[in-house]
Amino acid sequence: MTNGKARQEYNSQGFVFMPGAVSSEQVDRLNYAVDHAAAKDKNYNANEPKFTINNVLGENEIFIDMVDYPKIFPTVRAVMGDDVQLRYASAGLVKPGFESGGGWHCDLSDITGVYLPDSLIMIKVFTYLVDVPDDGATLAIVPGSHRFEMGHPMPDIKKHEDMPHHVTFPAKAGDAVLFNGYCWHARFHNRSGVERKVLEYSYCHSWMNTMYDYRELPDHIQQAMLKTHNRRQLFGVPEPEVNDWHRRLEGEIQQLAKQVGE
Amino acid sequence: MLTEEQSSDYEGKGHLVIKNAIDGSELSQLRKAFEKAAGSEALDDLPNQDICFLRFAEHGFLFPIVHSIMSDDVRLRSLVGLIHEPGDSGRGWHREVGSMLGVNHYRSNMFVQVYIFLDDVVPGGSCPVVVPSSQSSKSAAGISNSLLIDEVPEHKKIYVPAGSAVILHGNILQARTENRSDLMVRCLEYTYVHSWMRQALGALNEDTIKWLSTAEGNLAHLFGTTPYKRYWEHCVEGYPSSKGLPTRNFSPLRSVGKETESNF
Repeated sequence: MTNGKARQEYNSQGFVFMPGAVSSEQVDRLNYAVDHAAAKDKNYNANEPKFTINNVLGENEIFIDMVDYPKIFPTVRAVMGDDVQLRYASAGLVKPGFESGGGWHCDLSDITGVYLPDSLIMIKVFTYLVDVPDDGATLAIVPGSHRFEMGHPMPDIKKHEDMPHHVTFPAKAGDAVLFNGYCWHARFHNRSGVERKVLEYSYCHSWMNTMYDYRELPDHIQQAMLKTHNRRQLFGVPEPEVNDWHRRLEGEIQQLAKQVGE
Repeated sequence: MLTEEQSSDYEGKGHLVIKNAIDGSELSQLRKAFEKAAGSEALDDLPNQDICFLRFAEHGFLFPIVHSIMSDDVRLRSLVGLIHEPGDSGRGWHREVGSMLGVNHYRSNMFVQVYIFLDDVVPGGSCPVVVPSSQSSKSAAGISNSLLIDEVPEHKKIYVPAGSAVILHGNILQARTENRSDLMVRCLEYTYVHSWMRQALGALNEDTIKWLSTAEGNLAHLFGTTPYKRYWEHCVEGYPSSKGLPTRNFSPLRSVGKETESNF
């Protein structure tokens, strides 16, 4: 997908679907790493309907490498801009057979100060590590809701499926979807027979806080984070003498307006 | 907190001028601490220089105004001291948030500057200049970098006595005149952002952190030394709740369609 196409899709829909973004070999490696991290996590209970490994970055270098994965990151950069930074990385497991879906919501409904219909401060990228069928805890989004006026009322619906104009994202392992956190979205109940396993990477701007401190991660993980200028920016490693408002990635130049809405 | 008139002024014009915002004894205290910090060449490290600089971040009169403008999640971004000596060349037209990507700044409220002047700001000297209401115009609207300060239509030079405060919206077009007088102008610049945004305070030393840990009010929060809470939810306490400016309404329905729980 070209950067222009990605931006066009994002601008009109609020999301970009990337089929086959991750190779099957990489999906296998990620599955192994997620299973290993879950098994190590003392809070993990295989009988619980859902579980989130909140900070996978410290678990395995493969999670560091996913921050700028070649078939996903150019789209992230095209949408977020050259000051992009990782806000957090997690892995989510949703067991089948539970009514554990999350209601329709907007991640940014409580924040103040930002005119959200014409700004972009946070996106999420879901990378699917297993096939997610129609009834398998699919992500659902209302296309175009990233442009809704602030305070636009949600309909008082009873079921996920009642949301007007929504789309769902059944997916194959290796597919990825990027969306604006201001979009109305939901995770449907998992009524399939398979566990949903998804990596969730949230990106923001370099002038925002991260939800982790790179200095608290193991040395070999830090080394992977410090490897290049772009990695240091992505992981929020301070650059001496550079104001966080002025940080920019190196390499391909994006044709982005200085401000959204110009 | 903001009066109705101040609120309307700030939303409409993007700045507030508050004459005599601090009293005579506060002014003396700040001047003394400022001189000491200047003597140590530490005007860019004020948080570690004197407790009075920390306390003024939550000044009893000024901070409630800032809180009303920025909302409950307000936090300090930076704190520095500035001296504009005679002959200082000033600064051209700019918007402070001009390099912050991703935000529609002319409809947002990301950053506020509070200048506390320790000397009189007089004609011919160094003074802040703004284009009232320009915070609501698109960043490229009508301003060229080559324009001299006086060439920009509708600009307003701000003259105030020592002890006054000037509060600026981060997206307002602003400049500073050349100091053609023989008087220097000293001021403190406190800037505030939202708590999920990065700070630029420099490293706080152990004594400062220790003092903040037992300080009254919200100083530890403002200086970013409180333990991590939820990402969007670091808020000040002890003030009437504020969602900041501009005032907007939000839907009461936060999460719908789960079947298993009430929508309210």
